[in-house]
Amino acid sequence: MKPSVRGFELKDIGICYSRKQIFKNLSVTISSDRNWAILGRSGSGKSTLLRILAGLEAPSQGTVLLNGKPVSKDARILVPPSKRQIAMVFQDLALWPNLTARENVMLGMRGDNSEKIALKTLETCGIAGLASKYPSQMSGGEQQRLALARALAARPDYLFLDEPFNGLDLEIKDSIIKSIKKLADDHNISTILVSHDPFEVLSLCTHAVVLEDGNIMEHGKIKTIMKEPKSGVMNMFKNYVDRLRITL
Amino acid sequence: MSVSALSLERPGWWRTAGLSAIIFTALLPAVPLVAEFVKTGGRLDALQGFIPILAKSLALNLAGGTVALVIGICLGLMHSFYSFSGAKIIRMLFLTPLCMPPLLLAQGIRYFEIKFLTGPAGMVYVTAIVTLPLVMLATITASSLLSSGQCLAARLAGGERCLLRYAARFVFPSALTTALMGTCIMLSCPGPAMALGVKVAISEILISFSALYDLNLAASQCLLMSGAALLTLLTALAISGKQPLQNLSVSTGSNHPRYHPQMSRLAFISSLAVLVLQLGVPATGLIVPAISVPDVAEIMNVISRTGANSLVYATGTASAATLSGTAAAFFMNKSARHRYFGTVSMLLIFSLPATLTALGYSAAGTISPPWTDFIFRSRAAVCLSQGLRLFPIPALLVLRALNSVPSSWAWAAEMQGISLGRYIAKIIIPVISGPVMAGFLVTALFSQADISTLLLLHPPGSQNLPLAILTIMANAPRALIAQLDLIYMALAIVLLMVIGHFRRGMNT
Repeated sequence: MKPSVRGFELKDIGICYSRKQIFKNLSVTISSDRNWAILGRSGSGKSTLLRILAGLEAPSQGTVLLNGKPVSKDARILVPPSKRQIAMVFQDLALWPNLTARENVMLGMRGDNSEKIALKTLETCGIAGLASKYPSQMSGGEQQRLALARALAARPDYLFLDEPFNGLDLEIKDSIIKSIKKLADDHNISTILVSHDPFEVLSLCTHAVVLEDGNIMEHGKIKTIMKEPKSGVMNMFKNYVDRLRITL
Repeated sequence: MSVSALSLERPGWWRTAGLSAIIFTALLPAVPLVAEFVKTGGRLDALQGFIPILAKSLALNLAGGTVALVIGICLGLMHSFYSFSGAKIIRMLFLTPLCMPPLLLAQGIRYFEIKFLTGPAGMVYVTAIVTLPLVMLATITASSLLSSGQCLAARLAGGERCLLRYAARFVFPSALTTALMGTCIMLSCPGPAMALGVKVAISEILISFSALYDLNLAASQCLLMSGAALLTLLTALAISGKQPLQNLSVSTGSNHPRYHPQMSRLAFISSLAVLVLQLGVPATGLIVPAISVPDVAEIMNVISRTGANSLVYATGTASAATLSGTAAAFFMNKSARHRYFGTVSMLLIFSLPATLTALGYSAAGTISPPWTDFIFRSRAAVCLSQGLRLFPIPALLVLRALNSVPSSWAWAAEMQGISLGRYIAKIIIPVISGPVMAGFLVTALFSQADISTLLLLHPPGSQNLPLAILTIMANAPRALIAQLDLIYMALAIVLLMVIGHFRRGMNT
């Protein structure tokens, strides 16, 4: 019997919206011991794939396995997102504007020491001093850290990042990516990043899944893929890195 | 699939079923009237004389609507693009006629004693001043959809004139639909015709019901008038396309008026001039006869006799409208198709004559057993009848607020294992509480303005203040009527100020 993989396995996944097929028979393994990037052009279904992994959407067909156990199958979610040990930072951060930073982190927590954990997580993310501020009273970078703190407070095994760095300047982006990397290493968290920015991907991820025309075009170690890229996206990544090398 | 925060994001049959149930319930009172109409073959002979009166009423109201359309677009654009001191207060005062029974405004115009304004011209005047705030609101809301970049591009291309021309074309469909909606609403308003002595369709319906005791004829006349209102509004929607409906149901941006030396001054002066005509003339008409020693005992007698009833009708109607409206907004929220059909249906329901549901209740009451009197012949009947006609107001306010909630909020809640109840209590209720309260207060005010439902359905001895004014209008001293009218006007302004505090989630 084949040993089960620690991480996600997608088997013959298909999804369609309003009769438009986004994926068809998509199969891939995303192991938990790596930091992954999901790459592809706009509209290629990167965020949809992330939501399927998270359990926010059910695939129209096929099975999603987590650590060898089916969590979604044939349009049904078998294990809800909150039971998958996943946390997510959304593209628009999804911070609740009527709650303070502390309340944003605490809302989903239970137990007597939830406040203590929330404050500790805010401290870890470098915004302990902003616990009683509302999101609208924070800068873009601080909001980003709050979204990260909310995600990490759940002590997840996986951290999903859905293009969360859009609109940030390079300095803040670099500092937050470093923080994520350190926190992920310290707490043994696997990250899965959706992005089309080579800087973000190469700074945070070691492995990639490349989507093109509803199929997995490439899959594996980024360094290996970039030696002989098959997809348009990875070709552009390679050109970007080459140009950067020449310029420097 | 389990019930979680994500349920609010998912489509489902329950949305269609819920929305259909609310719309069906709102239209249900019309069923006995249609049945009566079909059974008797429509009394076509008796309707021969009614058709010219209906045509005349429609013509008078359309004339008023056209005046409101022209002035409303100009003023709405001025308020959207140019800042000037006192703009907020002026905008609030513009809204006052919308929250008052048109009867009181018509009385003010009559007491102003300009002969020209006591006949059909007065009807046009009242329709214009009641419809004007609706058109202004629609114009301001629609123009807020223009981005600052679009405005800047128009200004660079040809200055302020180019911007106003471009914006006027953009807001026209919304303003036209709203003006015709105002026209339809005023069609079923008996107060102005009674005060100004004009024979109109709604007064004929009331005569058929209350004086001739001919429910069948009243039903036929009412259905004919409803058909005319529907045709008018559907024509407006056909001309305007989907844009006005989208503007109504989605959360729009906000206007950023800026100071412009000439245009700001022009906006201020034109606003004041229109305000004098809109509110100043009827208010002066009331103030002049009111300046006499008030008969405090009589005023207190009328207010104490009607105050509790007014409060019961207002809170009952507002509760029914807010509950059904909030539910409708949740059902419509996540699907463009539901939003479109829901908004069209609600616009049509809102524009149907109030007499349609009221007569329907009466017809149902005559064929129902006595134990159902608490539904058909009580104050609850008034509240239900008005609430199911006015529910589109809170529904649209709540819908706009719900549209400002991104799907990712529910996703984040789901990721954290937050239950549906906790998500609604902690996240959704704070977002919609402002619009819900505003919807409650607006429907409470509107319910007082609708006299025809009260006339047809109120149990003996339970009049509200506007109906009491209508009843004593012919015999009581003019000073007393004017003083009561002014008290109501002051109350409406105070309530409008309170509504201003609950504007969260609404942009205008």
